[in-house]
Amino acid sequence: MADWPAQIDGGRYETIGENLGPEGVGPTQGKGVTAGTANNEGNWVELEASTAFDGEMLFVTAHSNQANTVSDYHLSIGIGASGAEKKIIDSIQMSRSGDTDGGFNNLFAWFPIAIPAGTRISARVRCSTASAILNVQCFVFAQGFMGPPVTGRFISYGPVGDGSDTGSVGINPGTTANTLSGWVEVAASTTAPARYLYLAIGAQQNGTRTAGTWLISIALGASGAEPNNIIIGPLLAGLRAGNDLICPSFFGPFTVDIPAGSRIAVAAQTTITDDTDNNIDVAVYLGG
Amino acid sequence: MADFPNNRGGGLWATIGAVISGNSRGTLITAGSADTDDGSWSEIEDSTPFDADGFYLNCDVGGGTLATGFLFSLAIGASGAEKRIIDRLLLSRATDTDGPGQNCNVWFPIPIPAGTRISGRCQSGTASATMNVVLHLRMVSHFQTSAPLGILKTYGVVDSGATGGTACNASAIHTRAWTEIVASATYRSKLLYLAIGNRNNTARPYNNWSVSVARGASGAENNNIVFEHLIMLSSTGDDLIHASVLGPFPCDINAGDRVAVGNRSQTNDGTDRQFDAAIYLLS
Repeated sequence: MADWPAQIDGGRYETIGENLGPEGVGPTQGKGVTAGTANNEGNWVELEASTAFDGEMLFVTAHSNQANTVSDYHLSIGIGASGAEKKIIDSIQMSRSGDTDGGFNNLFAWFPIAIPAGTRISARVRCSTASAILNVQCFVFAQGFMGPPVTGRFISYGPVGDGSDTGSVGINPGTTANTLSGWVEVAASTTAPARYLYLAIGAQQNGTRTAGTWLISIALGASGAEPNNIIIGPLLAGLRAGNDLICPSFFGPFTVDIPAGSRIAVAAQTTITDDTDNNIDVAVYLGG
Repeated sequence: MADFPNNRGGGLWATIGAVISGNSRGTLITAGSADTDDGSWSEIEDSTPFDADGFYLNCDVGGGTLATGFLFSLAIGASGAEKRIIDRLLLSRATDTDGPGQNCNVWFPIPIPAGTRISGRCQSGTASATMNVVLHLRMVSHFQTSAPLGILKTYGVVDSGATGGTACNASAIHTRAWTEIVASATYRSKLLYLAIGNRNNTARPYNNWSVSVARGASGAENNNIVFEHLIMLSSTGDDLIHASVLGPFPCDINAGDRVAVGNRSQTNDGTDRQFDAAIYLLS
């Protein structure tokens, strides 16, 4: 097919959730979304009352406010009227270190998700620290023809729900450096077919880590058959003691073809031999 | 058209460059002399396993005790005949304790044929600084793939006497100012990447920025926004701007367009509100 100008994706965009005061006055930040009690979601916070056009891509950014508490976060994005919000992105795992003012890997992530014109978009946050604040801001993009197929929602596998923790599934690579861990099941049976996959890494509220790097792989298949069914990886992440942040901590989207009912497992190896500092949390997000 | 499984955009990925035996990192890339020379090309893969329609570039630039910048290039071709497909991608490392870095995992829809040799090299503000790199290649899908893009054009980097990008400043607190990155783009482009450099600032405050990109003549940027108010921040603890290479952003930038970056900052300190920017346009 010819490359018509209309195919040059990106005729329209909209910024939502920005919190910008008048020039010279401020503030200059994203919309503050406050968590509930420790390890429980807070209220939905509206980012946009009504989107301006049909969008096919959502670019999500999130930033920690200034505070020095070592914390884990889960960020969800929802659509729908106040009181009737439905999650379209569920519990993105993020972490903040304790370094002076809370080093934080800012989230900048694309989600190929359909957002009809007139949609109300909101966000909510769970955090291991009560009433912690994430600043959230998004772009909605509309594309021409030939954009990627879009999906309706992203389902999370691994994040722990309200109550006891704001982490995900833990992986311990063991104290022998550079040796692949056992495969850790993240999803026993996925609930819907998926064509997009993301991986998030959580820091388990460890704010005094040893420097090192990780290689992380994702596989399908029954227990014991993972080495023959690796679909992504190894992904590279590094950490330096200066800020105790695992970086990058969010990977994707990877295009995949995962049927409903699939088992997903993750394994990691690292240069770190300390049996606490080598641990990470992982969560997988699938969109169909 | 029905959504055949083949339409699903490529279920097969291959990672190249990972060092899994005796280490857990990517291929080591070593810079040359400070602020002047690329190091030698380091082979990441001698022969790619399949026709790829794009790849994620996955870098770790942390380590060391000096705040510094990197300009990383990726090439295809035989040893001695490398041709750059990514030219001087801007990344930064802070100085705090052991050098936290702007690690990245960024998608580039640039086709690479099966059997291609891939290598990387970098320049740094610190002589012989190292970074490590892996690539995640996606097999060409069948239907509904995007039109192939092949030329990634670099604008705004500084590679002589320094290793960085174009300094972007603001004139007052919470007030946006525009800085030209390119006076006239060479090609019409569909995708845009924005790289943010840390300017070797070793004493950054906690700060928020609103970053924008626009086309158009000087003074007309506000009417020709590509995107605006992308929020990013820096931390005092690690003195690092927590952004790296951002994108790809859909765009429609014509050959001959001027492109500028807008900086609105929460801090009014004339040094700390500055960041470096480089733009990469994919055609």
